[in-house]
Amino acid sequence: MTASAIPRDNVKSMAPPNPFQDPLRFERRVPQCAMVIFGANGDLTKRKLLPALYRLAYDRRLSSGFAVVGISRTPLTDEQFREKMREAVEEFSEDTKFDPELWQPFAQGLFYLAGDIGDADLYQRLAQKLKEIEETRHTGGNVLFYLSTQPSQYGRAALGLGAAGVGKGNGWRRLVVEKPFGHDLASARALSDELHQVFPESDVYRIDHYLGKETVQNILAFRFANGIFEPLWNRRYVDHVQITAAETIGVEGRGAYYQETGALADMIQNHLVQVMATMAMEPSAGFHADAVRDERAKLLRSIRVMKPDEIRVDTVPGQYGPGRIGGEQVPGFRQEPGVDPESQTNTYAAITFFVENWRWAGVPFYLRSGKRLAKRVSEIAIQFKPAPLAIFDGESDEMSPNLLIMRIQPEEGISLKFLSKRPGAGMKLRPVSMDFNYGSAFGERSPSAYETLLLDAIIGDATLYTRQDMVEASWTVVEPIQNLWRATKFDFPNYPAGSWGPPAADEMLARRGHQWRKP
Amino acid sequence: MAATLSPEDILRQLADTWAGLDKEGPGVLRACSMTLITVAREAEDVSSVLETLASLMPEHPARSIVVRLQRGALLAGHVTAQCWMPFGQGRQICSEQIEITASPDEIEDVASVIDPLAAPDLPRILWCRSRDVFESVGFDRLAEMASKVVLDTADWPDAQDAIQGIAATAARGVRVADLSWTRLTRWREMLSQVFESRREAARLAAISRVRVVYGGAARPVAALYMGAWLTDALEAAGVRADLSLERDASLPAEHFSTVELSGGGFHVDLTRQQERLITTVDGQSHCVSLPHATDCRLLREELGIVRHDPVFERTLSSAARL
Repeated sequence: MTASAIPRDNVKSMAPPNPFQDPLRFERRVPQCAMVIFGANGDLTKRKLLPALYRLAYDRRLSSGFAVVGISRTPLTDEQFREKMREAVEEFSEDTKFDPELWQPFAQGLFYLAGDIGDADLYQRLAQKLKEIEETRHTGGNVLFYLSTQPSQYGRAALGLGAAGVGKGNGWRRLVVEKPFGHDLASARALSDELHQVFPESDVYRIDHYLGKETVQNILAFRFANGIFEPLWNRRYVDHVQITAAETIGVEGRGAYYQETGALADMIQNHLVQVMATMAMEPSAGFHADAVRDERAKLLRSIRVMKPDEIRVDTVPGQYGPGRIGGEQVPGFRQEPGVDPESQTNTYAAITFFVENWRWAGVPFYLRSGKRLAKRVSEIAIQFKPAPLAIFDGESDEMSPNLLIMRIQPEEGISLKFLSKRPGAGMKLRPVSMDFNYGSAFGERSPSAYETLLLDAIIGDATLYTRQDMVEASWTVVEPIQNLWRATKFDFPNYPAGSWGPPAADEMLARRGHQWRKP
Repeated sequence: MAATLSPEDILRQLADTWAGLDKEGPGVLRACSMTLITVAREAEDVSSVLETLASLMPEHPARSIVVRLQRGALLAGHVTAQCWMPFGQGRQICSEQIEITASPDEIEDVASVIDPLAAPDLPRILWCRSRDVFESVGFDRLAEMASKVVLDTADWPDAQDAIQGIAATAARGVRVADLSWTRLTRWREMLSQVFESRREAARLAAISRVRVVYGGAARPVAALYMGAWLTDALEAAGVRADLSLERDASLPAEHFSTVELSGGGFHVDLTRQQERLITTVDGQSHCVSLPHATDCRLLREELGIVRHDPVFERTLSSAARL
């Protein structure tokens, strides 16, 4: 490979080949680095980031000098921050034993700076701290910045880093940004413009934790490592696709935040559209970040942008009302704390998308996501067309389409449903399911999405991160829906908590002769 | 009169076992990713072998064939199912276990029974637990039907003989693994991590001395592997270093204690302290856990590699020349 062929974002991280490497047995190579978390006192840091980092340290996946600088407004000493993080790790590490002896050296790499994101002095102190860490912990000047703050602060944080010269240094500098990436197309572009003043796009890692889940990654393995599925993966054999992300919980005290976003922007625009792109994209030329993301982006750009009359028939917003779940009475969305009693926020969204390319023309992609639904489940269900001729008596009565189901959570796995002859005389058919269960085929623990994604960012692998053009493409298809929904007054609530969503969503599918699966 | 054992009978028993499990309800899921053939001698604690196999099943669900060699035993076999219920799930997952008893001089006959019993189209791994079996006449027949043979030379009396024997087997085209090598993975990985840093990588050229310290009266195979791997890796980076394998009489037998690389003011060492591995680079230490390497842990790693293992093959060949 010539130097000019090396992706620009990889050049800085290129080290001489390590003669002691054994890629067959060792985990991926992890460079030395420091990580700076803005919003270090927040929920995400405590519930997800620190438990994930601790688990990576527990599994010896982090370098020995790895350091974290937490930044937040609350005044804390390094020791107080370490104690808070210890409590968080103990409380939120779901399947990792807390080992005080391993925590001790890990905690020595945790540091804290109190300050306001808008205060220029904070960045000078951060520069000084990073310099000290580079010298004492040999991090090679590599720094991963993680913005776990209010989205409105992203631009200020990036510009603050740039103004203090911290956005550049001896090693690589990368910036991880949590969703939402803007609240519409214009704001997504404006955010990218601000970030790009300091970090080139190749160093911006927009995190979508759905893409870090094992089954979502496994979609690529399933499709492109096996030869038998690809010939079926098109309009000729696929009748329609259903992508579901259903939650049983409500807004869990985040009503004020949630009513500004809603299911369409919170789930469909990012997670589900990205999952759809992974499921439907063309094979990439290789398994490296830009090749995979190019194909995902191309698919996103192929989704038909709906006109208002199409939006009225092919989308359904919903909002849950009070209901009973497991014998317990639960409040409706409008009764949740902090929520406007007249709120028009969608807590449920169902959309019919069409992909305008040769592979998928005419195949409906039904996406739905909602809160307070009957079951917590995320899955992709691909329904195949029936056999061209029914030759068995009574087959039409027992007709059950072939289904390929990829379960994202819980019980990650893949099932194929097909018809089989019932034992005994005559030719009576019955549907049977062939199951691949991730947990049973690979009993080892699957890393959490944050472990996968944080490690990828440290290594410099952006395959599972969302690129600017992907964000813009998904806003391009979602924004017209959002605009029309905002301009319409809906008769909410339109589904009771604990149900499968509004009846209008069933009607949306019924118009094409389909029905939602009850997973 | 010699007993005979029909593979068809065993396959029928297998089918009956599954039919019986299915009758218990719809909650049984069958899982199989390989055939794992384990050969255990009479003197071995078979219940502990079965326990190891049972704990491997969730990660490497296999059709497990356990061959128990007992002097005077008649060739016989029976079938059981190993089932487990993953936490929080409503289905049992089951894999098959076939136990065959045979006299040690019937190994070749055993091979002819095992061959048709192996799950089709999936890898066949032979876990050969004893040196006697490895050196027996029938071993080649067992080895040639396996995709990979897993040995453990930890208690073989002469390290050099052991390595020569394994290298000769590998030269015949048998894909071999040795758990003495697998025990070194964590050590090797920690050492490798040191040189992931640009700063340390730049100092590789300064290394002029490699020291491997072990305990016990005899030199263990692991020490030879470690020495060969280190010198190979350094040579690949253009660095020639003197290797010394040193015995420390104060350490318990087969205890592998320290690996040290030094030269030009640069010093890296890895030392075991109970269940911890301490890496020290120029006086700065970093500690990770080094849990006891049980058969289960070691096999879990080896069963995950059913392909050409270039680093081990290179090391084996270099160790044979040490």
